[in-house]
Amino acid sequence: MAPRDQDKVSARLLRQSLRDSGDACPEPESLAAYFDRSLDGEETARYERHFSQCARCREQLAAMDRAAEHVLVGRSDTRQAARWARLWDWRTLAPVAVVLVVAVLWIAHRPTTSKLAEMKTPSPLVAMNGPSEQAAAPQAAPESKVATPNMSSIEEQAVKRERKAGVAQKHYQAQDELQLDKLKEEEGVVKQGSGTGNGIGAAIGGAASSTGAPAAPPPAPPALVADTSGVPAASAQRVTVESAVQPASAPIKAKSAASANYESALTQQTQTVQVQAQTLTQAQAALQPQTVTLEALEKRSTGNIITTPDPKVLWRIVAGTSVELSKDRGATWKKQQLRSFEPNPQITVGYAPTAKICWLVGRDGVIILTRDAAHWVPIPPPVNTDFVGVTAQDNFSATVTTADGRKFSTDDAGDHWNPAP
Amino acid sequence: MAPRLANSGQVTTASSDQPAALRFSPSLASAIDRCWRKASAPADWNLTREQFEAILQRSVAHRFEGAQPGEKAIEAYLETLSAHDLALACACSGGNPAAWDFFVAQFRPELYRAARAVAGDAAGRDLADSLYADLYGLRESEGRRKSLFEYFHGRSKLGTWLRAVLAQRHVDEIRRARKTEPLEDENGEVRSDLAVSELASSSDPPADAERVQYMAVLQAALTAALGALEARDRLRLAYYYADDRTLAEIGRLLDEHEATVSRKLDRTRREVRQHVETSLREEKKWTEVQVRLCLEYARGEWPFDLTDRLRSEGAPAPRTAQTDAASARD
Repeated sequence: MAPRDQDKVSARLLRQSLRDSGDACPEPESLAAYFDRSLDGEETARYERHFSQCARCREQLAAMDRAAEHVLVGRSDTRQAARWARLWDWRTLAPVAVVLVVAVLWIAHRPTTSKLAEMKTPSPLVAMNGPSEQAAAPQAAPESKVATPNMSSIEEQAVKRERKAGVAQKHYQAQDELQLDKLKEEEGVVKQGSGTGNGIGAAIGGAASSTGAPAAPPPAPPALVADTSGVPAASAQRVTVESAVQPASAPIKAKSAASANYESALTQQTQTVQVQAQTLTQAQAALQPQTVTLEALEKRSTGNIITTPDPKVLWRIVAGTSVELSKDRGATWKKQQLRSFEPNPQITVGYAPTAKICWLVGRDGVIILTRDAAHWVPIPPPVNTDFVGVTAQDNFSATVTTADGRKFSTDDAGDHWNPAP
Repeated sequence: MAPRLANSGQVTTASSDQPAALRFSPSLASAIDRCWRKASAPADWNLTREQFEAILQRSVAHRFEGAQPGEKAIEAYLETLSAHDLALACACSGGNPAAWDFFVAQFRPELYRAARAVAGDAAGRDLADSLYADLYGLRESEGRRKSLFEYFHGRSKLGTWLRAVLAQRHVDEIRRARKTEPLEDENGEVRSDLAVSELASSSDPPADAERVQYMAVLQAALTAALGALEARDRLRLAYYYADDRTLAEIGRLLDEHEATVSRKLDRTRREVRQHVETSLREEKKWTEVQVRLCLEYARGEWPFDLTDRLRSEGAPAPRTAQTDAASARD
């Protein structure tokens, strides 16, 4: 006989053989205890033997199984509905809307590509003559009137100018150095003639001090002042010096003007960026309360205060041993009666998914739950250790965190716990 | 004498069909304390520790009815109780308003959801309403209000117990309706399903004496083989063959994975077949030809017998206080 046919034979025979034994059916509590797997081994075997022979009991168990499935689906639907409600809550949507508005404003007011290209292109500079340098220029004028120009002063002023520019323009610096060398040679001739260097010095000093650096006039070399042997040729040499100085100062002035333009453009760009930064800061400041509120709502337990979706309802852990409830935003508090297997439960933190449901956890495996904001029940812990965190969706589903970082979740108010990621 | 809680919260005693309560020895005090702490009955339930201990005594007496349990057995039993649910049931049985508010908030939605799952939307609501009334105790017995909560002893969770009561009432109602189904339809003709079977049986050839004998022997061997099975294996077979349940359904009922159910069914079938064939060969001294002939006879149409069919639907339910309550309601 083929195996399939033998199975058909077995099936038919079994169906006819598995008849009712006539034993008394167990009462609903025994059926329920069997369903909950809370019977001992001997009772379980005894009832299973009866169930195998009693269609009535098997029908009841199947009906209980259907009911249990629907209860679990109902709880799941409730949790899903709560998640959707939170997603579409104004406290979730408001920060998203603010971010979108800020993004639109930034896109509308951001600098265009051409402006960015201009700002990025470096201008030829020798000295960075910015507003500060221009402001310092009048200071240089009286100084140049009284200062005794000499080469070291010019050189010093040029170096300072380069430093203030902040631009390593080596070719300009080299040119300046060449010019300075020439000026050194020629100034030595100028100083041989008295009084003539003042104008030159003033010109050079004015150009130099336009960088804004007050130049301390170094002491004139005594030899140059005293030597008057080259006086007849002083005029021609002065012209030569002047002509040498003028071309030297002209590029410096041109470079200063360019640097001034650069500085002004940079300043404008800086101001624009500052304005944008201010706008962004204001937007962030506007966003901050919602973000903080959302974070607070997500945490639901910052320090001793446990917030709820109802802004008027707050929980408060007092001295780690008792809990108080406020229904008027914290204006008044009412102490809760806690009953647990410990005389003084050490509570560390809590979470309230609704205004009436609150989970509390603490040391030594303490997990306490209220479903009506009045009566508290102990929840069997997954492990007997200190808990430092809890989150929950409703009065059945919660996740607790131990002090060593482990997490456990339950969907049936602590009857069963599973490790959570 | 089982204690009850009056509405004022004072403890009184009244006659009851519950077993007489045991008296706990002082050595069980710590176990009772643990139960009391697990119960965590709020003050407004008006349930004292002494009242709760009396409830525990009644539960133990019910569990070990007719036996003399040792302290360890009692202690182990107390640890398995759903103490908080037991306290709630007792407070509700006494009519305490705060306890009822708690029960309504926690269990009423699930009760109605479970009733709809068991009996459908319309019938489910009626089923839940009637159970709700019985839980509150609208009927009186011996001059006092009798609540269905008195039959809850904490051996299971209260929610599971409620579903068990719903399931029992629904199944009994279905069975009652099934047994009272007329053999004839509204036109006065025999029902088609019965007519087919009658036609089939009437078209069978006259009973073969040899065939009848072979089937009787086979049936006895099969019954013996099934009796030798583990209770769980037998239950698994019953779910699969007698109730036509799917592997997934059986897995949920037995708390097993679907693949495990399939594997164990295969193993059990093999064991039964081997047991039957061994019995026929070794005990009945049948030859291989006789064994094959016997199985060939079994492959044929099994003679339909209305009496056998009714008997296989299950014996009438034994009377309990709960079924009495249901009957009084009907």
